[in-house]
Formats: sequence, C-alpha cells, structure tokens
Amino acid sequence: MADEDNNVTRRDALKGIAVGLGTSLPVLNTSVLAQTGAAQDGHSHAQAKSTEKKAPYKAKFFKADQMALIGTISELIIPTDDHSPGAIAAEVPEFIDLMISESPAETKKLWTDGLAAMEKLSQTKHQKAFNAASPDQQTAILTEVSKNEMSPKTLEERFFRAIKGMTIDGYYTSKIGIHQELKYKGNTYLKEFKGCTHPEHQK
Amino acid sequence: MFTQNRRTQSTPVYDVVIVGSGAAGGTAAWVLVQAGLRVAMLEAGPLRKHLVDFPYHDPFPYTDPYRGAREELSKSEEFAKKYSMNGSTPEEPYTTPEKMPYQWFRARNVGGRTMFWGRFANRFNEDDFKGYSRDGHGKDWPISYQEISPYYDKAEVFMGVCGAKENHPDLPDADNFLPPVALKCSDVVIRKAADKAGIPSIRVRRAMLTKAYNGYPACHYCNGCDNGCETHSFYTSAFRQVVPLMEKYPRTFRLIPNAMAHKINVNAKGQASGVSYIDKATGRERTVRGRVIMAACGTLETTRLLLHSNIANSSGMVGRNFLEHLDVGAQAYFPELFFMDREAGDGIGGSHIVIPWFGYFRKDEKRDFLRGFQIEPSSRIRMRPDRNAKRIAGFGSDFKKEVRKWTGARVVLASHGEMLPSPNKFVELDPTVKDKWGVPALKIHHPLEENDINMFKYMKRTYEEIFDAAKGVRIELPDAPDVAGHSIHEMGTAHMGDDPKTSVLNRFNQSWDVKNLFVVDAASFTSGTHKNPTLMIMALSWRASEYILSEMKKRNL
Repeated sequence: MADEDNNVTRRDALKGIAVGLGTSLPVLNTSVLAQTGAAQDGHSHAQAKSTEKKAPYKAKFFKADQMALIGTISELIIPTDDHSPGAIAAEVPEFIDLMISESPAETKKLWTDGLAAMEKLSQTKHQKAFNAASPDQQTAILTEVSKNEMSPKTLEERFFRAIKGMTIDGYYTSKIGIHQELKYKGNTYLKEFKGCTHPEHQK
Repeated sequence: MFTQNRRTQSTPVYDVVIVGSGAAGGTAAWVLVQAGLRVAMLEAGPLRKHLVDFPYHDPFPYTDPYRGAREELSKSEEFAKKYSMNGSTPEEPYTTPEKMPYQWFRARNVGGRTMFWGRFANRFNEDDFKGYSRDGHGKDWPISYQEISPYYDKAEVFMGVCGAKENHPDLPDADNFLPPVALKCSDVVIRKAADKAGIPSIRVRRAMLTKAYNGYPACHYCNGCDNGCETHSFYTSAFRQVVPLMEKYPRTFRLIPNAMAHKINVNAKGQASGVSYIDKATGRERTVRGRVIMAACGTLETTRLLLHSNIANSSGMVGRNFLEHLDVGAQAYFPELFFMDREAGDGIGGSHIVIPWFGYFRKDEKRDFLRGFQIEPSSRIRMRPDRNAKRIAGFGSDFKKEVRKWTGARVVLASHGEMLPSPNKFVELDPTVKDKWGVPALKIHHPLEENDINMFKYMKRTYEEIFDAAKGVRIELPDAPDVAGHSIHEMGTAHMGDDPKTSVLNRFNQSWDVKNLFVVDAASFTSGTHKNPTLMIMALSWRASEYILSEMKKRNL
C-alpha cells in the first residue's frame, strides 16, 4: 500500500507507554500484548495473503450452476473496473452462500426461485442461459429487473433487491471493499497525520 | 494512627475521603496524595484493566466469515453497557414527570465519564462568570476569570491540550498548547462555509496528545477514541491519575471500587465524619472515615448524596439551579466533499475545528434569546459507506462510483447552548422509588423553556446559513432539540455563591454549612455557560484541593 511508511506496529505504539509510566507497568500484561499483537499485525494490513492459492470454495447451499449465476450477477452489480476489483474478487458469492445456507426456508426459496426466474428470463429474451448471454444482454436483463428496486413487486424484482443488498453487504465488508475501493486508512496505528493536501479544498 | 489494613473494620481516619473517581475526584486525588495526604477514594464501579477491559480498535469485518452480519464484531456497545447506564435501569432507577423525558448517562467505572468523554478543553471567558451582571438572570460566579486562570493552566499542562492561540473573544487562549492538529479536508470545507456565513472557526482544543508528552505516546490517529485509547494518548482520570497514584503511593492512597456511597455522616459538632457505602460485591454497608469529605460523584449523583444525607442545604438550593446544555444537531452532504480522498485520514477523532459563540461578532443583532452556544462540527471517515448504499439505485461501475461520491461527504453540526436557571428545572428525591439498595431515586425535572426554544430556532437558522454557504444537499434539520441530558453536561445543583443564604458552597467549593465538606464536580457551577464542563471541573477541583491543603496547614480543617 502506498501509505505503508505511515504505519506503526502495535508493539511500537505501545512501547511508548512502557517508557513513559516507568514503574506503573503492572497493568500492562506483556503476554497479552504479545498474543494480541501478533493477531492484530496480521489483520491490520489489506495486503494479507488470503487470496493466495486457497482450496476452491465448497458451496454449502447453492449448486455449482447457481453459484456461477450468483457470481455473474453480483459482479454485474459491483464489477471489477479501473478503480478496484469487484464482487467475485471480494468473495461475495461465497459470503452469500454462507449467509443463505443459514437463513430461513422462506429466504432460501426466494433465492432458488429468483435464480431460476433469472434463467427463464434470459431464455425467453435471448434464448440463452444467463451465463451464456453477452454482457450487454445480461445488463439488459438487470436493467429490467432493477426498474422498481426501491419498491420491488415481481419475484425477479424482489430477487434483484435481495442479491444487490447481499452484494453490498459482502463487498463493503471485504478487504477489497474497505481498503482498495474505499481506501479506508483508520482503525490502526499511524505515525503522523498530514491533513488536507488538496488545493481544490483550500481555495 | 493510620494503618493500611483492608481486612478489618477497625477504621483508619483518612485525611480526605473523595467520593467519585472522574475528572473531579481524580484531580483532587492527584493534588492531595502528592502533597502527602492520606486519601481514600470511593467509586461505584470497578477498575477497568488496560488492554483487557476496552475494545480499542474494532476488528475488521472480513476477519469473520459472516462479516459481522450474524454477531456484532465491535465490542464497544458491550463495554459501554458493562460500565455505564444510559437512562433509568431497574437496579438504579430515576424518575421524571410525565412528558418530560431526561436521558441521564451515568458511568460505573474508575475514571467516571472521562472514560467516555469528547475531550474538548475550552476555557470560560470573563463574561461567562458574570451572566447576572450582563442580563439579570441567574447569578454571577463568586470567582473571576483571573482567579481560575492559573488552574486552567495547571489542568491543561497536566492533561496536554492541543490547540493554538486564536485571539477569539469567546475562548481565551492558553499558554501551553500542544501543537494543533492539521485540518482534515472536511474541516477546511466546513471552515470555508462558516466563513462565508460570517462565522469564524478556530482550531479545536482537545485533551489529545499531538506529540509524546509526560511519558505518554502521541495519538496514533486510529480515530477510535470512543473505544478507549490503548496508548493513553488522551486524558482519562483512571489512567492518568488514579492508576499512577495507586502504584506510586500504595500506602497513602486507597481506591475502594464497587462502593456505592449513599450517605455522608455528620458528627455531633455538625462536621462530616465519613461516608457510608454499600460494598456491591457483598451487599454489606461499610463506612470510611475522613477529616475532609469531597463529593465528586458527578453533578446529579452528588446532589442525590447530599439530599439523602440531608446536609449542606440550609439555603434550600441543593437540587435547584439545575443547568443543562441545549443540544441540537443537523446534517447535510457537502458537494465539495464528494469523492473525498479518504486516504487523507481522520486525525484525532472528531473535528479539528470548533465554532465558538459568534454573538461577539454580531453586536448589533437583535436576538430573542439570551446567552450563546458553541458549534462542534464533525465529519468522519468510516470503514463502510456512511449512508446506506442500498438507497443508491442502479448497478455497475456507476453504482460503485455513486457510493464513493457520497461516502465521507456528510457533515454534522451539533451545538451546546447555555440554558438559564429556572424554578421549573430542578431535581429532588423521589418520594417512593428506590434503588436496589433502598436509597431514594432522583426525580429529574427539566422542561424546555422559551429562551431554550428561541435559541433552538436560531441554531437551526445558523445551520442553514452554513449549509447554504456550502451548497449542502440532503439537508436534515431537527424538529426539536435532543432530549434533555443528551449533552451529558448536567451542572449547577449545589452551586457556589457569595451568600450562604442563597448558595450551597462558598468560593472554594466548600459547604457553607459543613465546613469540612467540599463539592468539586459540576454541581458547584454557578452558571452553565455553553462550554464543555470538564476543564472547569478540573480547575475548580485543583483549586479546592490546594485550598484544603492550606486550610489544613492553618489548622482550620
């Protein structure tokens, strides 16, 4: 990350207290420090290695073709673009599968029916499976089912609303969503605060 | 003879017993123990352990396969519930008249509400001490700015307060600021809008260490102050006063945690002799004896203690002169902050500017309310989209872009306004309701009155001026002020004065009636002003403690 130089490890941040308080250290349990320090150092950086060569995800609820369709639709909602990777890279389909696998039957039905309805829509309109359709054809279908997204009525519309909501939930809680897309830099140890460096704000 | 024997009931007599461990109690202990006195401190909650009893940085949601959707990952709520009460509870109730809600936030941990505070350190100015002389309402303080100023210095130097000399008529400058923190994008943009509306802002004065100070590390800019500070880079009385004293003075300073004080005992001569409390661990009543008693429980809890003890109230003013801050918030999105560069970061937590009362620049304006208010702007960069991204229509790259556009562009303006004392604003013991230990609960009366409502309307107009200057969008203005108590700035219910017939304390926070009883929290405030009270609490407690030392030397105490 560009700003890595500005990061301090937790150990260094806390070291100052040890020097400062001198004798008043009984409250600072160094074994706790060592343990949690190791844990925190691991997840305080966006570039941690979770995407490297993991075993392929085994879906808990959806079938392979359903997972593929969820991947396509969630990626259409939040795509990889020149700004940042999209929903598939952020493991949104995996998140959706986990959440739906533990949801009530009613929710499960909305998803399986919804996915089937999307397939049917693609067959009717383009005589092709959704995943076999061109990006433009896929986009046309999503445009249609998203028309009433703030007050969805049909099954397809309700399904779009559901998958968009879950895609947002999964994406903006992922490493990619937080650190790459929204470039969040807080909740960690920084050496300094530079403040606003934008001439357009200053004028 | 004093002995430090915790096991026996045979009681040592402490030089001073302090009830409460927040800004008032912590500061009194800091002064008195270091001067060689033997001090006992009662606190109704436990001592929280550094590194253990705080959430500090929140876990990132991706550390959980459910991304926090099944179970809250942040422990902040859990800790807040464990160590504080926001409102009445079955064990520790309080009551209010019908349709007059009051939200009382009480801490139950060593450090009191400094474990939760906003860290503003603003001085009262000369006018703030003379409300009555200016407009005939309330009373003038029995002390002047010149008398309290050296104690502001001491409190500021002790805590470490960042800021800069600004020469603003409402907020006197201090001599010993730590370096001010650089302005965030939102600060720059809010300041510009306020300037356009003719309202000057200044760099914020917060008890935040912007450099390593007195052995404590500088702020590490995580912006999670609400979760507690792992590096003690802002003032809390627990970690900057109480714990260091316990370690350095184990023989002369004794903290008694989980001790619910309910009565100040008085001897045949009319002198306070000690404090009775309930040991919450055992439910047993115990007593600690002292030559001097200091009430520092937080304004309303101190008032309840005095009323239940039935002392120090020959004036009838205990529970009266109840002063609050009028809290009003509003928000808008500032187009200049669209697509804001979030990498610039969020600094020390909260805004880096503050808007002091600007009535000083509008001398000719005719206003339909008295006194003034201070605006605390804020705009935070959060981990996740700050508005529910689900309300943004569409999909694809345009949708992503739209989320980036709004995230971080929200500006909140919130004010604390001065409220006038009124015979209708008071607290008393509830005739029937009691807490779990059988002590009468407080009944809190705090109606909104005409001056408050007129000030509220003026605040809203001011927010509109600033929002309009920034061409703000999706503006949300409130229909009513926040519920009373929201500021967590209750004050005045055992106030200082010049006349024993009409006030509870003299100019040294000493009870007129019970000479060895001092009230050093914000109950002692004569007026509330619109300033955040903690710095004044510390200054008064420091000054009263020095007075106790000198009176003891003269054998007057």
